[in-house]
Amino acid sequence: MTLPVLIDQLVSGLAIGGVYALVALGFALIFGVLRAAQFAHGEVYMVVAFLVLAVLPWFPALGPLQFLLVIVTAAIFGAIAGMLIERGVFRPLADAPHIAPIISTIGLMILLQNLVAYLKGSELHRFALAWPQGNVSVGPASVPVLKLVIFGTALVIPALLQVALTRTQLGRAIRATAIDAETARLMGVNTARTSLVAFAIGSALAGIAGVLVGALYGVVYSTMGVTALVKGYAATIIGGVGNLVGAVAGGLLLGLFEVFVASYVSPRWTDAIVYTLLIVLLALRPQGLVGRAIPEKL
Amino acid sequence: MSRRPLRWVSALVVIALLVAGCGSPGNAADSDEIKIAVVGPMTGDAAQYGEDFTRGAQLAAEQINAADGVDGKKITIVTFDDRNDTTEAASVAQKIATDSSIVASMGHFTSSTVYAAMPIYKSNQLPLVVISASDPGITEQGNEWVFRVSPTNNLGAEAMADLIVSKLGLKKIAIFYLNTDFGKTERGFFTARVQANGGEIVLDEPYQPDTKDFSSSIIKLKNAGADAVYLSSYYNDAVLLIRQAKDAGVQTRWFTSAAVLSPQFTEIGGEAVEGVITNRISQGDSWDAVAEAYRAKYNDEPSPFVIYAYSAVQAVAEAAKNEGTSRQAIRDGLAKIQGLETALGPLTFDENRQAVYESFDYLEVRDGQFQLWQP
Repeated sequence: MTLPVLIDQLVSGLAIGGVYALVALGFALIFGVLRAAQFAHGEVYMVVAFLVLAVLPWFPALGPLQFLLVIVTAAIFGAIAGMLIERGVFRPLADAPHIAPIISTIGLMILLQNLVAYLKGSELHRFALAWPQGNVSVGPASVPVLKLVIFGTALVIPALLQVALTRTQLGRAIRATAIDAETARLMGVNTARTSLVAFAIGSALAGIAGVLVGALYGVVYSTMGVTALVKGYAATIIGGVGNLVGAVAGGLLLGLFEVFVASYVSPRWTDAIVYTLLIVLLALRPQGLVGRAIPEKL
Repeated sequence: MSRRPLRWVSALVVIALLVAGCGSPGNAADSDEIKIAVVGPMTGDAAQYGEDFTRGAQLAAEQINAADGVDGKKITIVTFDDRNDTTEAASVAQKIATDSSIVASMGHFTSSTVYAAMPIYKSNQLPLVVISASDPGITEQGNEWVFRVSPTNNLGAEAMADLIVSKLGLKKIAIFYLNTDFGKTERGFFTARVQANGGEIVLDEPYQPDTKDFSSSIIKLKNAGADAVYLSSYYNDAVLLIRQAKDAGVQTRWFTSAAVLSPQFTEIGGEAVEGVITNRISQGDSWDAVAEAYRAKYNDEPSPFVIYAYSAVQAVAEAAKNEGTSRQAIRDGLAKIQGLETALGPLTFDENRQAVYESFDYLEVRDGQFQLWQP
């Protein structure tokens, strides 16, 4: 193992890990506030990637600014999708048993996957952003700019979210709802609105992740959400369910782990080893790496 | 209350993955027709190949039927979806085999799915014509109900190893292979021939089906010092691997298995796949004639799988004409085929019921298309 190779591997792991982190963060935010797993979270990621692909030709070639526009667009598409899902799938089932929204999001997951496969075909669709392209030197290694940008995005966005959650009235309301929705409502928090906002933000993160992964792989496809859900869910568990810092750390760790197992064991064993470790981790620390034994939400 | 949903979550992940879809069964018998099952991935990310099978078979059926069928009997094609999944392949094969109106089956895309389905055809005495799966072992098992019109992957892979090492003099070779029956066997033949020719495998890297991120493999390739890379891959993996490698600044020469031959390879690959070289069995005038009919009907370029499917229907029709339309008669008829004029050229089955192939064409991606290339 030489230093350039190691840097290359680190950057690759952090890039894909960054994508997992964004998915996990959205998943954790929604889970924290609504106490229900959003199984169609991966499909939000997929649908947004397809929507952005459809409007991509209209984006002006503005270099990094274009990239920023794409990210903002993805966030808006994701937020709209999230609000529709919250209103259409979660809100009507607010008083139903926990199993109900789970089943209905699984239904939504299957529906969206098949709808996109029907409309756009189940093959791979080419997805390329004009920026970032090319490689840049990091110490003795030469790494793709795209991967650095993805990693950077996956750091900046959670940081902004952290500020929003701790410094704004709405953010505090979201956190209060996550800790105890009933009490928060008694204290005058509009919990219906906070859950809608949490859903919009969580889905916006999924949308951003979908576009980033599209750029990273160079393609989008109708079943891409399945992997995202599994990896995002795994990252959430690694970090500690409902814990936002843990979700990001879990995503990055998962990405790094995958790259290092693929590099030093074999790509053939990546998933087997990663998920075995996940089981071991769950047995030893069911609260996750970052979570505490008595879970403190958000 | 905070922990309970997770239990459901875990259980339901499993359920969700199981609830995916169900096929539809075949219909009642009709003795005025020769009903052939075409089975392959009709949904999922290999669905393109299933469509190639169906179109090729249907084109052949239409043309044969237009010329009064087989002694007046019309050929009917019924399609079945095995989703390119071994479990599903076995259950679909069972469904096909128990439909007594079906007299022959053709397809199952990969070697893994053919292996899963083969014993079922044998125990139900239904002939299967393999039209893409390329593991030589398929026709070396003594299963007298299995025929294959497509070439085995040792032929293409060995021709490629000869080209790269002996003709082009590229000695340090990296190989990426799909970790399935198809990829592993092709890798074996390729590697053995490279070494026999005096070349060296400097990187031997498997990848799992459905891999989309090849980062760690590409980092190895970057540092392997390879003169050339060979991919035992289907088009979707090959495109991603090549594009991601070029994006990462890897400069080498790319060679691939014939399995990448699909218009999608160049469509998704764009600039990145220019200069990629692959091979295919040599194509004669009858191939071109079918390709022309296909273009006219579908306004699309036919892949080799279209031609294999077309030829398989021709072979079954010939068997039915010579020996009769029962399953047993078609099996016996197929076994006797010698030098039959098909879309592939003259078709002869050897004693293992494997079509005999001799020469190869080399193709290079140029201006967004596969074009003939002279080494």
